[in-house]
Amino acid sequence: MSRDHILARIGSALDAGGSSIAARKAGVAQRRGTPPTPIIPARAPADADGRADYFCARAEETSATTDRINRLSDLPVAINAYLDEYNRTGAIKAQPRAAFSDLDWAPLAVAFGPAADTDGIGLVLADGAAAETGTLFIMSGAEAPTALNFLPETLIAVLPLARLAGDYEGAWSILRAADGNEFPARTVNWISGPSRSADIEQRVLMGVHGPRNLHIILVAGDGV
Amino acid sequence: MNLAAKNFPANARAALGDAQLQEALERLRGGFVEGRRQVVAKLPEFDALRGRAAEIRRHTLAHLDQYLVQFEERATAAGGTVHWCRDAGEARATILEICQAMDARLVTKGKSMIGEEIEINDYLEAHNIEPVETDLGEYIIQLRRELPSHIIAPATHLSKEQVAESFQEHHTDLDPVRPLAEPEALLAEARTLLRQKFLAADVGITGANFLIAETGTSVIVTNEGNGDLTQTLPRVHIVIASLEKVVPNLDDAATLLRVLARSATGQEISAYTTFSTGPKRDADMDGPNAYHVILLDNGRTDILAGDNAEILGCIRCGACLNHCPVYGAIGGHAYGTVYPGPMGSVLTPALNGLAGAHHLPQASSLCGRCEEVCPVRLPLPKMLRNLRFQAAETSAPGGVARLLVALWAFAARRPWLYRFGAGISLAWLSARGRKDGLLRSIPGLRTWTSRRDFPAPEGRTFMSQWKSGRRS
Repeated sequence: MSRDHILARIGSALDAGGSSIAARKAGVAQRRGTPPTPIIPARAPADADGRADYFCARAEETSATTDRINRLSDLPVAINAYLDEYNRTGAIKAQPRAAFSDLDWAPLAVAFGPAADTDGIGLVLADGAAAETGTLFIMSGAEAPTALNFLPETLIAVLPLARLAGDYEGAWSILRAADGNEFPARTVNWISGPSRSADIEQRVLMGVHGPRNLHIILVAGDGV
Repeated sequence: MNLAAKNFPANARAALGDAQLQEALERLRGGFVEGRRQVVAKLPEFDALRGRAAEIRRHTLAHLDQYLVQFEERATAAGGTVHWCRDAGEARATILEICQAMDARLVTKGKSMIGEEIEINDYLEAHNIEPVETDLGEYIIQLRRELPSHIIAPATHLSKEQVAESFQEHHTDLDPVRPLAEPEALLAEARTLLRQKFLAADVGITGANFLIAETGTSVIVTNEGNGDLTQTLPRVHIVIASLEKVVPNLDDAATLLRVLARSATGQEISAYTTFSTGPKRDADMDGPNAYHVILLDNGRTDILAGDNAEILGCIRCGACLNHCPVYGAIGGHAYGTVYPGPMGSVLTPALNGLAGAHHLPQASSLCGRCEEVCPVRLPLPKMLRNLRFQAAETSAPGGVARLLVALWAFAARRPWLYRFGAGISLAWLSARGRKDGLLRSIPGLRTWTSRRDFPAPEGRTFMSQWKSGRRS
């Protein structure tokens, strides 16, 4: 059987280097018990406001746009303003979660559910984020279809400030706390800017397969 | 160009004379090399992270069996299926079996070097399954039936005009006089056509940048989002990964991700990094019903037992290609291999044997830039030298090379003969290069000098100058 064959070959190659299966088991257990402390870039400021500013600056470097609101109920107005300003059109599809469906969307028409090819604008809630590179963390789930992060031409992501960490490790902790025993979700998407390619003559172009535009709206506090 | 490593010298000659290719290589230097320099300057911790990244790769390889078993256990617990495959044939057969079991007709593919290594597309086609590459660069070279010329920028050797020609030739349902001069138009056309493939595909195949043992997770990194549509929309997601892709945990993956994109494209991070653990959960709104991981050996366990085991630490960023003066002069296709450049020159002979690939370790000036920029600090020059030793010990180099070295060794053991020979040749070479100190051609070495200038010697040997009292 190939599994045993391959493992035996790995074992004998490592044994020949002076290791043993017992030593390897001990080595793995030892590292799991006392993992090396991650080297975390000292980048984002520790205070919440500074961190949010840092996040926005990094996200904008990836060609995302950002906005900040004080409460979730301001979201429909903020989105309406964004769509107007950038002249974004198309059907709006939001994740089917109460945080969104409870809002008063008029005059916007918003549908809730899984992604469809016909969706022009997707609206999603970020589960976490890391300021160090302006990166959103989004988990799949009962209220979070993964395809919605990729199919629409424009993706609008809502990020509650309480879910913004300075770094990747911090963002993982926020997801782990939210997801409990299910961690990690089937899919965790780190998203840093819109879809892009430089495959033709090294020229960076947006919107190859995924969203051409990424707009991030930060909501004060826990927000949802 | 005949794409085989044994034709390297002829391929390299052709590449040097290819004006369009030379332009493309110039763009690569401007893009990736300068981009890397800028993002590295913005991260004071970069070198410390490289050190940690190297440590993670070394630790994992030294405990490889343990981490693979742990990965298998976790991935299985999450509802996935792990398939151990000894070689390309077994991997292809396993993939085909999964596809046939569900009557798959259309397979979308994310970018995967393992996919290239096992030539999965040809195999699926031969079994009446349509494979569609969805990374824009891979899609272009799939249309052109070419190998990637770069491990992260597969179509970097092409001009936009060549891409337009390929689209004209293959997208025959579209208006033949549509404007395709601008990259934007090419991109929009590819987006529209491939969107239909994403939506219709039965199976999605992706590679893996990393496998995470602690959680049984596979990780892909893309800028286009093509890998995500590939693995989210079809009913089945197949991950193809070689054994060495595993890392212990999520924090280790984060460390490696901090150096990967910076080294590769000069981005702080790629647009999309996706962590996948098992198939769709019961409550999930979308995602594949089945999740398979192909763990491919295909020569890796041989490498692990050999002198160049460190090459298994490679994370495929392509920095060594981007910074290599030889790759920069001839591009990827001249190597005639799936993996070009310095890492490819080490990996290819290790995977396929030195016999057909003995030119590759010679295709280096051993200047050391590859090691300087490697995010996991692989000693690439040392590994290339190891291969040169091996090549010299076997009969791999040609008879002429052996004869010349034997002649040199004969003379070197006889100082009078050596001094005599050196004196004549120096006087002769110096006379030929009197004008500006450079030799543009040397009789008997014309092949070598046709592409290179040789500095002319001063005229007399050190020994004769010493004897005649010139000691300063």
